[in-house]
Amino acid sequence: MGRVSGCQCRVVVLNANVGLRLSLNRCILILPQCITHMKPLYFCLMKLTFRALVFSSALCWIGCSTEETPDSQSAEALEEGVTFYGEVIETKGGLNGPALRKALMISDGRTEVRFEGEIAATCPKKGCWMDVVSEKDTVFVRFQDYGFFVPTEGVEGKRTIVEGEAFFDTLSVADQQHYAQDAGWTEEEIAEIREPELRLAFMATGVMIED
Amino acid sequence: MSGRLFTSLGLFVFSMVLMQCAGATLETKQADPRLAPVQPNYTSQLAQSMRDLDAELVAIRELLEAGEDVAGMRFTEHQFTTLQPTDSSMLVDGFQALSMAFAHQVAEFNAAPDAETYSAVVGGCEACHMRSCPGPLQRIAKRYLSEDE
Repeated sequence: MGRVSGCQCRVVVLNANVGLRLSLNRCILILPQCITHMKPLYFCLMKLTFRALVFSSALCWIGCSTEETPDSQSAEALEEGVTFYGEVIETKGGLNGPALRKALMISDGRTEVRFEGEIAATCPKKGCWMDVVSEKDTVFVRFQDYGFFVPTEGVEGKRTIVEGEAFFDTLSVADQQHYAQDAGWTEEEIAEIREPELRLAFMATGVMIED
Repeated sequence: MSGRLFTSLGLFVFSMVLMQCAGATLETKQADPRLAPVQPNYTSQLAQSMRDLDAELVAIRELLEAGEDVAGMRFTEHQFTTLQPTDSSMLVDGFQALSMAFAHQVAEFNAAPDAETYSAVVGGCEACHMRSCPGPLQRIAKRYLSEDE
């Protein structure tokens, strides 16, 4: 990304030099011809300049094409198979479950981090939350200010990285019942929810999901 | 004459080369990260109307915060009970009553737009979302005027 500069000045100058050098050789070859036919000298030079220009342009064209291709391919490969939601985030250095707990312990239960895991479920109605599993931990991820959403289906089991604020959250019975209803729990199962629950929660500003 | 023609042709070829090089740079920019739309899923009529309403809240709040006149501002009067929800679970007990109360708050703002009637509309959003779909509560809280916080 941004590493390919396309036609680089260096290449242009080099190509122009080669072109001019070859054209000068050509100049020597056709000079007698010019003199023989009594053509004005400026016409001869114009012709040569034109040839030099065409030749160096052609080389530059090739230079541009060959220079650009490998870098552009690597840039595409870098982002290939990945979709971002909310903000585009850094995709390196995500903590796993135990590391996230440790980070929370040393920061009084609330910290800005990147967390990495596997999607266990997403809100099947609107895509407004997802459960992300990493080792033994399941983190309940919601999205900053209800400002973006993830797919309601088809992303279960995929690797994800979320960036934002991790914290321990106490979900009220009503909220748990609402999310259980979202997740398609039966009336009986929802009725079983009677206690507030302490959860590892995450308010994400950006999410990356592998395709 | 021919010399000028050659020069013109040369410049034309050279500019074509430059354009080709510029094109190469543009192609590179297309490899930017793929960013999904804010809502990649189906949006119901009810959800869309609330999103539109939120945009109106943002615009009016901005004017009020800047101390500007909101006399000409109006909220769109949606009939929430007639709009298709994301699913039936959104239509909690009291949804109809809350919708009617909200419509009344919107009508009051439209009749007399000011900070007080604006705050009542935000309160209406909050009251309903405390009963149904608590997800947007955090977003709604940010629609209150600074002096209300």
